[in-house]
Amino acid sequence: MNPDPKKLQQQQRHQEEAALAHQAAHRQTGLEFASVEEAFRHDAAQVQVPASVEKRLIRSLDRESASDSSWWRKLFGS
Amino acid sequence: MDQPPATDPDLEPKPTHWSCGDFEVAYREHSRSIYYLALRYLGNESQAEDATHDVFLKAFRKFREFRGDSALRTWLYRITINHCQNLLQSWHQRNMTGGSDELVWESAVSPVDSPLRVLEGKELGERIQNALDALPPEYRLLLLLVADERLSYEEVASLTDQTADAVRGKLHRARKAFSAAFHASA
Repeated sequence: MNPDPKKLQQQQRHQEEAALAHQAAHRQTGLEFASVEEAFRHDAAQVQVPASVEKRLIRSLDRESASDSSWWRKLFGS
Repeated sequence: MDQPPATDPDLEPKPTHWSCGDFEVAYREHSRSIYYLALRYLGNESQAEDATHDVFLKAFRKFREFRGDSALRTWLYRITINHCQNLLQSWHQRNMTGGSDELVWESAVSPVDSPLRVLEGKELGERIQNALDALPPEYRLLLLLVADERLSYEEVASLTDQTADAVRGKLHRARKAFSAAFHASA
C-alpha cells in the first residue's frame, strides 16, 4: 500500500518546523552575567575536582605516615 | 604496681590520616575552591590536579603548625598562590616569554557595562580561560580571589600583599581588562 504523498509532505513539514523551533529556542537560551564575578562563580560551580586527586593524595599521605613510623621504630629500636 | 602490657604497634589498627577527621573535613570543604583557583590561574587541567595534590600534601605536613591565625581557607589559598606562582615563574624562566603588559590593558576599551553572554555553560569555561590567559597574572589572581564570596577584600589584600584600597582600585582595571578580553574571544 503506497503512503499518501500529501500526508508525507505534511509530516515532513511538521518535522522541519519542529527542528527550526528547537534551534530558535536554543539560540534564545543562553547564559548572561551582569558581572565578572558572577560569571566566575557560575563557572566554578560547574568545575569538579577529579576523583583521581583525592586517591593520589590518600596514597601520598599513607606513604608519609609509613615513613614516619619507620623513623620512630629506628629511634626506639623496635 | 603492675605495668599495663605494652601494646605492639604493629598489631594495633592504624587509623589513616584521611579518616582522622580534621584534615579530611578540610579537604572536602576547600578542595573545590583550591582546584578551581589552580585551574584558572595555571590554565591547565593536569597542572591544576598536580598543584591541588601538592598543596594539600604541604598543608597536611604543616597542619599541626596551623594556629588559626587566619581562616583555614585563607591559609590554604596562600599555599596555593605561592605554589602556583613558583610554577609560573619557573615556566617563564624556561620559556623566556614576555607576560602580558599591564599597561596594554590600562587603555583597554571594553563594553564594561555589557553583560557577559555565552550560549552554554561549557563555552563559559573556555572563554573565561581564554580571557584570563590574556591577562597579567596579577589581574588573573585578583579576579579569581574576589570571585570567592567567602573571602573579604581584606583577606584578598593580605593574600596579594597590598592594601584593601589598592585591591579595589586594581580590581576595577582587572574587570575592565577581563571584559575586553572576554568579548574579544567571542
